[in-house]
Order: sequence, then structure tokens, then C-alpha cells
Amino acid sequence: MLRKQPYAVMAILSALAVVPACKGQVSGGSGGSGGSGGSTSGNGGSTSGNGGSGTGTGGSSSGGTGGGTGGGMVTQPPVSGLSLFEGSSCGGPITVGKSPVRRLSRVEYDNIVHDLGLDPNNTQPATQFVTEQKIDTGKAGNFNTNAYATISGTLINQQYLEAAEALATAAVANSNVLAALLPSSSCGTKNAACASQFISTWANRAFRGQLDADETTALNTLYTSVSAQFDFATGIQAVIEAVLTSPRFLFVLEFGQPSSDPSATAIPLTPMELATRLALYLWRSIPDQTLMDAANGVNGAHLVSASDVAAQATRMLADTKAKAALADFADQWLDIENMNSVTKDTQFKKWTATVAADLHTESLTTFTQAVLGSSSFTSLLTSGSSYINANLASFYGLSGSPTFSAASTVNTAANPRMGILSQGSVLAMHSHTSLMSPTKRGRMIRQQILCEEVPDPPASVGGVPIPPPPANITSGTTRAAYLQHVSANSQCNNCHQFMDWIGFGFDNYDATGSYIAQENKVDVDPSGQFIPYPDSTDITGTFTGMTDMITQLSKSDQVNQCFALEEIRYALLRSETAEDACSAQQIYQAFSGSSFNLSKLVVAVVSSNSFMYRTPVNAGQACQ
Amino acid sequence: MNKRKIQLERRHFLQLVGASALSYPFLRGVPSYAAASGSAPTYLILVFTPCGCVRPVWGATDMSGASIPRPAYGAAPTLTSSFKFRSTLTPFATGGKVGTTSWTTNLQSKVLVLDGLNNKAAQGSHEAGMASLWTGQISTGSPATSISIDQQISAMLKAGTPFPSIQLMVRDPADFTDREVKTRMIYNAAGVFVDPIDDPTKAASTCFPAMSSTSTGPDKTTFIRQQLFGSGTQPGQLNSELNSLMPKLCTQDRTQLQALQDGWNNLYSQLQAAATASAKCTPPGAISASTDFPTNAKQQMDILALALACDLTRVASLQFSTSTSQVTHTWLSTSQNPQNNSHHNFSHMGPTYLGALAMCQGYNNLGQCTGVTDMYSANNVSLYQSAPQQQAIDQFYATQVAYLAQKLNGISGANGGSLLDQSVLCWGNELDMGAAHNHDDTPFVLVGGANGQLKTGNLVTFPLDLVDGAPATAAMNDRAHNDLLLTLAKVMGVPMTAFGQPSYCTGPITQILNS
Repeated sequence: MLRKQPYAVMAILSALAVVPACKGQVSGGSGGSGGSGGSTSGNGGSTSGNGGSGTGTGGSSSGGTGGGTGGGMVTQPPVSGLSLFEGSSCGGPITVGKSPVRRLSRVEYDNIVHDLGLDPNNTQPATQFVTEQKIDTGKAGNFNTNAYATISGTLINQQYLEAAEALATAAVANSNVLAALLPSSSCGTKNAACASQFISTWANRAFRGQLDADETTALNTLYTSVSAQFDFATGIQAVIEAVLTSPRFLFVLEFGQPSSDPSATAIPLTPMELATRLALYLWRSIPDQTLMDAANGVNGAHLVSASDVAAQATRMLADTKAKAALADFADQWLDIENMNSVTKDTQFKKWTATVAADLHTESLTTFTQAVLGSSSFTSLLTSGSSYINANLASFYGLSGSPTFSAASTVNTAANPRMGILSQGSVLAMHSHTSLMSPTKRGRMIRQQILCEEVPDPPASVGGVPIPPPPANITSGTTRAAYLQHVSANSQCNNCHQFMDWIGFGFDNYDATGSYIAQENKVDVDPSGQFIPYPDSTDITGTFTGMTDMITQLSKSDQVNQCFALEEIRYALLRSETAEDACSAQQIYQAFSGSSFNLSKLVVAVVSSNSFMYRTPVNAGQACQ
Repeated sequence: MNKRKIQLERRHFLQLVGASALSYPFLRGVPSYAAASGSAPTYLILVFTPCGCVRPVWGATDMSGASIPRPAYGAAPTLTSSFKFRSTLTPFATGGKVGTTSWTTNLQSKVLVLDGLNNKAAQGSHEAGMASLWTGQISTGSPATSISIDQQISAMLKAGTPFPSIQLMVRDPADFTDREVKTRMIYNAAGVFVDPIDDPTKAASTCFPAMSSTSTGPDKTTFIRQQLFGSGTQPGQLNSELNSLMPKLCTQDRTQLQALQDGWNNLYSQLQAAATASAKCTPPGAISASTDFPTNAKQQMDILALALACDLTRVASLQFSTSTSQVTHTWLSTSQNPQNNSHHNFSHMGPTYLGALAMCQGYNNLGQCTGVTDMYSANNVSLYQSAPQQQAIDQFYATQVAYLAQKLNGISGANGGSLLDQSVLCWGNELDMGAAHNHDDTPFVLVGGANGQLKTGNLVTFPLDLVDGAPATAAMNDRAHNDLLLTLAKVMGVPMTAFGQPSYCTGPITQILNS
């Protein structure tokens, strides 16, 4: 198989104990350890005990249309990273990165069936579905997508079928739910005309406008067969099931507005496709009536220009549905999705599942409120306030009985905090069960805040398998242990220097994210440095501690560009490539021009070419 | 009505055959069974448990309690038929309790303990072990990119059973949920993860779909499915829609929709075949959705045993938790030994390299080690902190595997034996020692004789390079577990000369094969 080649190379390298060097790994994708293949995936956020997040860099397969039976793979282009912001790429014809078809994510499936009126009690069937995979683990923002995940076996199909049957059966059995689904104007009598109207409105909404004449006929025929065998309600049930299992529902299909110019590198999306992208990004759901009316030009509204899009985005951010979507972004950006199941060693008496869940809520709320309140990214990184409850006040050693519904000051002399990166969830997640981990924390900063690629640890160094860190450090500090055992070994230090020297800045926070002034009665030294990758324009310089580190990060163009890039990635849920450069630059211009206003960033993203256009659809040929 | 009549027949059938014993003869009319060219079919079950083992109490000894000496490097493995299990594996001899079921059956004569197989393809830690365990493909931590042995065997067998294979998982709420290398061990031909069913209610309804006929024709669900998936010459709504949509897409996008379509068609075939089979077969009793790990374990094992008894598949796998298991085994707690930490954390409380268990005893005049201490020395247990907790977890898993084995053993099979005698259950792990993250002596146990092809009732001791020296060279002297995978293929009737990394394959382990 084509894909075997890169792995064989890696095997030979590790057998020879040649450690892949960490140089030149600037996110410009300058060579590096290859891109990622379609099926490689991994979770950067394992909680404990395991040195490094240890997941594949993935080889890439070239060509390989897959196809055939049972789960071929699709290729995923390597991500471009921060190189997108270099130079000035606008001025020529519009280009955007390759726009692969993608299946709905679980969170989207659940929100959509709820918004379609099928799941009024929020049973959220998709939480049990086969999960998505990450775009390019660790290198590209840790975001879940099905764009490069391929269905294999029959399990997900079974899950789709059973969810469709359960939702459809329950919906038609409940007269209120059914009444709410049916268009009131045509359904005085429950007959074929009513069903037909149901199909052309409800099914079309479920398909995000992709209902065509053929499919309309097919659904009407289905209704007729089933209702003849049973009754009206069962006919509607069948239509609902057919819709929920349809590729038009399960996949985000975009055909764009075809260009008459055969050399066109990008074509605009149709207004309805644009509306769909807006809703999937800002609400993780389908467009509401207002958005659909704009797309369909109802009552003079339109969704054509960038300013049309911007206006809708502003309206949508103010809608309550935006909150969960913003939290979804923060979960993945900060790598705290699994925060609720983080356990710590029993020596940490105050660590409980409730604390873990509350810390999770703190960070998600902080991010959500920052965007909705139109704060700046700088403030998000540096603020001394946060959103905590009484339980967390106790955990952090603060006084008072705050609640999550308002910001409170968390930065005190006894509990120094600065921005979202210093919150308990981020620090506890990037630790081991007992030990803090400068490596995990430094790696998270490198990958998610500086948008740089850090290769995975090799299997062995000098022929010796790398042992995991000890369960506890019983004398001296973690920093001293790392300097002695990791930094002192040049083969380890080669890569570790780029992570550990940043991570030391967080050494005042133990494995639970709680502030400590000393370890084993020795004062913690939180000084460190940003060691740039060779031949790069990375952030560089020393810092005296966390406050100094975060202040420098917050002033860095690299950090601000990286965040813009993370939003772009989340909005598109695909690899960003060189063709997205103009869009990235325009987005960044708007971001920096607004003093890094978070909601302005979101608006800039949706107004960009990468969001409003797609590559031409070459039916029957290789995807462009 | 027809429906009720079918259910009455089932209850009557149950009364005839009794609660636990299930007769095979009625299955001989099933097409797939009959097609097994005259001889009884063989069943393969891969079982995974995580985080390595407490090495000094694993495996077996001679009857005096002494360790079996290792054969010399390059020599054949030795078989010891007169052996007794060390504490972890004693459930195979003395029985145990799972749920409300207790048993005392001694299954020792049906067991092969394989001591000294090296998962050489695992060149990393947990993730590498998980990826390479059933694929034999080199991994340093990335997912495998080629097929796992069960899928390969299933594809070559073409057994014609309702399911080409069945993959089940026992999940705990604390387990990792991402679809990635740590949580998946089965791979299809394209190197894509095959997802296991982790919900017992889903496993039961998949394997034993409810009968759906009434006297007036198919019920609503079945009728609608026929419209969606097609029947007779009708392609069905979904196929028609997908076929008309495909031409509008570019080729890579088509691959994605094609995979959906293949999934639909395969699913529907399975549903129909399983419904037909389940008409002739006894479904499991009430299965409930549960967040309790031991409850889910028993339910999944009960379903799996019945699925095999009903010849729904010849190839199955059962995955307990995931690699780097986050499960906290609280139900094993005693006041002296509370299970207050995750399996993964406990598994790190021990020696961090194999040499700590097998220390060099002397050197020759060239400075080379001439021998090592016995890794199974009782003293070595003191190298493990929280040893009682870890041993309890290991023994818990041995009890689960023994439960499944005795369940299969209680189902009568071909040629006067049991279903277990017709099967080979291969129990493996992602690691050897949890804190060392090594794979030198990955613990493997086989249960079941695969229709008389395996010399069960033996402890098999392979040479193992334990002297100090570069692990890469040491590993060259060990037998790779790829040969075990080849052995499984052979007894399943589809022999092959290489699987996974070819250079690690020397051939099936002939010493454990009858003829």
C-alpha cells in the first residue's frame, strides 16, 4: 500500500536511533516530518502518566483515490500554518484551499435534529456516535472534523439508522411534536398535499437547501408507498427517516455557483450554502428562518456580499445558540474536551470530579463571555478576572461566593492568575497524575498558541526506550529534575528545549493547577525562555515568570496570528493551504486593526474569501 | 398472531434445551455452517486487556513452584504440560465469579500460556503496542496503516455468516472516547479503524434483531427499511439517491459517499442475515444499558458467546477499556487495598525497565553478562508499589477471560466437545510491564483447542534475551508475536507466510500445533 512508505522510513530511523531533529519545524511546513494521512488521528490531551501526548505525525499518501469497498481513505493536504500570513498574497484571482466534502460532526447532528423539531427533549443521540478525527493532531488546532475521516465497517451506519428510526418514531407518535413539524397552512387535512408541503419545506431545511426535483419526487413516492401500507403518520415517519439517513443530510454538500471561466480557481458559494456555513460555524446547526430568508432574498433581504455576511454573523453571535458553539471551540483550542474525566493522585485531597467539571466550566465561560462581550484577545490572555463559582473560590483559595454568571477577580497575591492560559483547567489537563509537566504545557503553548509543529517523541534514544517520568519527585523541584534528566541529554534536549523552557514558566502550578511557591521546600524558579526554531522569526527572549511570559505572548504578532489561524481552522474544518493566504492576511488585518477584538475576528473570518468561496467542483475528476 | 407464536416457540425451545446448554445439531441446517466443507468451523476471538501485567506473578511454574528455565537463544520453545499457574492466572484453574455466576471448572487443559513472545513491532509505548498488537505492523505510536489479523482472516474465510466479524468493547465512563490509536485495535484493509460496539444493548440488538413479521406483512420498521434499502430488484431510496448524487462530485468526495453507501448495503445485508439467524437462535436475556464496567463486561461476553453459538460469525474481538486505561477498579477495593487510582496510574508503580526484574548475575572476562536472576522471583513483587491493587486488577481480567472461556465451554459443540474446543481465544495486551512500557514478554494466553489443532494444556516458554545490552539487539534474539498471528491464521484455515512486518515472521509456532 502506498501509505506504508513513510512508516518504513520512520522505522529505519528509529532503529538506527537517529532522532528526528527539531530544527526547521517552523509552521511554514518547510519539509518537516510529512503531512498527515487521511486516517491518522490522535488526542493530544491525555491526562496522566504518559510522557508526551504520543500520537502519530502520520505519513501522507499521495494520490490514492481510495474508493472500492469498505473504507478507502482520502488524502489530507499538510497544513500551511503561519506561513499564510507572510507576504502579500492578495491582488490576483481569488483562490481558496481545497474544500473537501465533510460529514456532519456529532455536535452538529444533535443541534440540527433539535432545531428541526425532532428532539425536543435533547436526547442527543449523536454523543454515542463514532467520533470525528482531529485535523492534523497537534499541528492544527486540535479541531474535530470528519473531512478526512472515512466511514468503515457498519457501526456508524447502524448508529445513523437507529437514531433516525428512534427520532422519527417518537416524533410522529407525539401529536404536539408532529403538529409542530407540519406546515400549518397546508395540513388542515393530513393527506398527500400536506405531506408534499412538509417535504418541500422541512426536508429542504434539513438538507440546507440541497433538495432538488429528483429527491422531491423520491420522497413523495416514499410517502405514498408507506402511507398506503399504513397511514399518514407512518408515511411522515418514513420521510423523516429517509431525510436523516440521506447523504444530503449527513454530508455538507456544496456545489457553488459554477463559473463560466474554466480557469477559475475559486467559485462563490450559493447564498444558501453560505448560510449553511455560517450556521454550522456560529451555531453548529442549521440556518434559522431569518438566515434562510436572507439567502432566498425574501422581503428584500440578501446574503451575497461580505457586508451581508458580516451583518448576519453579528446577529447570530448575539443569539443564545452561539454560546455552546463558542464553548465547543474553546474546548478543542485549549485541549480541555475531556476535562471532566481528569483524575489526580489521591495526595491531592481537594481534587474531585466536581472540581474538574467546574474548572472546565470556568474556562469555557471565560472564552464565551470574552467573545460575546467583544473583548480583545489580549484581554483574554492577560485578564486578572475569571468566571468561577463558590466551589472554585475554595479550590483557588479565594474568598467570597461568586457564581459563573458574573466575572470575579481571581488574581491575588496568594493565587496569581493571568488570563485563560493560567486557569486551573489548562494547567491540570497538561500535567500528569501527580506531577506538573513543563513539557506538556510548553508543547500546548508551542502548538496551540504559537502554531508550531512539535514532532512526537521517538521510540528510543540511543537504543534505550524512553522511560516515563517518575510518579513523584521527592526532593528538589520539577525544573531541576528536568534539567538533570532531560536537558542534560542532548538527544532529548534537541526537541525538549522548545517545550520545557516555556513550560517552566508555569512551574508555580502543580498537577491540579493550584499555586505553589515551593516544591519539597525548595523555591520554585519560574523563569524561562522562548527558544525560537532555527532560521525562523519565532518569538524569542527570556522571561522572569508566568506574568512576564504571558505578557510577552500577548504582544507577539505570532501569537495573534496564530489565534486568527485557529479561528480560521475551526470555521473551515479542513487543512488550510497556500491558497488561503490572501484570506488569512485580510482576516489578520481586520483583527489587528481592531486591537484584536474577538468578535471582529469572527466577523472577518466569515467575510473572507476562504469562507465565501470554494474550489470549483470537477465532477468526475480529481478534486481541485 | 404470528409474532406471539414465534415468541412462544422461543420460550418452548429454551425449556427444551435448558438455561445454559445449547445444542449445535439444529444449526447444521444453517447454510453457513454446512458450507464449512464437512468439518466443524473454527472460531477466533481476540481479547484485549490493558496496561501490561505484574510480571513476577504472571504465567506458570512447574509443580514445585519453580520457574521453567528459558531455552537458549535461537532454540525452540519448550512445552511444559505439568504446570501450575502463578496467582494472576489461577482463575483458569480454580474458577471465579462474574456477576451472579460462579464456576469452579478447571480449564487448565484447554489453556496455552505463551511466555516470551516479543511484540517487536511495537516501538514505542502504549499507543505503539495497541497499534501493532493485532496488526504486527511496526508502530512508534502512530495508528497502524494495514489490516489486523482478524479482519484478514475474516476476508479470506468468506464464511457466509451473517456478520463477517463482530467487534465488541467494554467501556467505562472514565475511558478515552476519541477515535484514535489509543482506543482502537482493529483495522480494515485500508488501514482505517474498525469501531467496536461498546453498548451492550446495541450489541444485542445488532446480533439478535427482533423478529418483525405480523400476519398482515412486515411491521412499520421493516417496511420502511425495505423502501430505504431496497428489496428484490428495487435499489431502494438510499442507493438511488447516492447513485444519482455521485456523478456530481469529484473523485475524492465520491470516496466519502461511497463509503457511506457501502456501509448501508453491508449493514442491510447483516440485518437481514442476522434476523434470519436469530429466528433459529436463542437471544440473550434482558440486556440493560449500564455505566458499571463489570456489568457491561458480563453482558458483552454473554452476547459474544451466544453470537458464536448461533454461528453469526467466525471472527470476533473483545476489547476491555482502552490502552492507557483510565478505569478505576473501585469494585475490587478492600479496606487495606483501596482501588483509588486508575489502572494506568497503578501500572506505573513498578520497575521501569525489564532489567530491574532480571538482574545480571555475573560477567565474563569480556564484560558480557553471563546470566540473569529469575524475573519471576518472589522478591520482585516488592519492586511494585501498590502491588495488591495491581494484582487484583490483573486477576480481575484473568477472571473475565476465564468467564468467557467457561461460558463457551458450557455450550456443546461439534464432535462431542464444546464450543470452546472449536475455538481459539487469544488474550493479549498492549504492554509487557506497565511502568517499563516494554513489549519483550507481552503476555499472551490462548484458550481453546481450535478443533484439536492446538496442543492445549501447556506452558510454552520461549527464549528471551534478558542480558543487558542494546534492546534492539536483544529483541533480535526473541520470537516475535507476528508468529502467533500466523499461528492464528493457520488454525483458522487460511495459512499465510507473513503478516505485519515481514522480517519479524519466521512462521507459525509449530510446537503448539498438532500436525
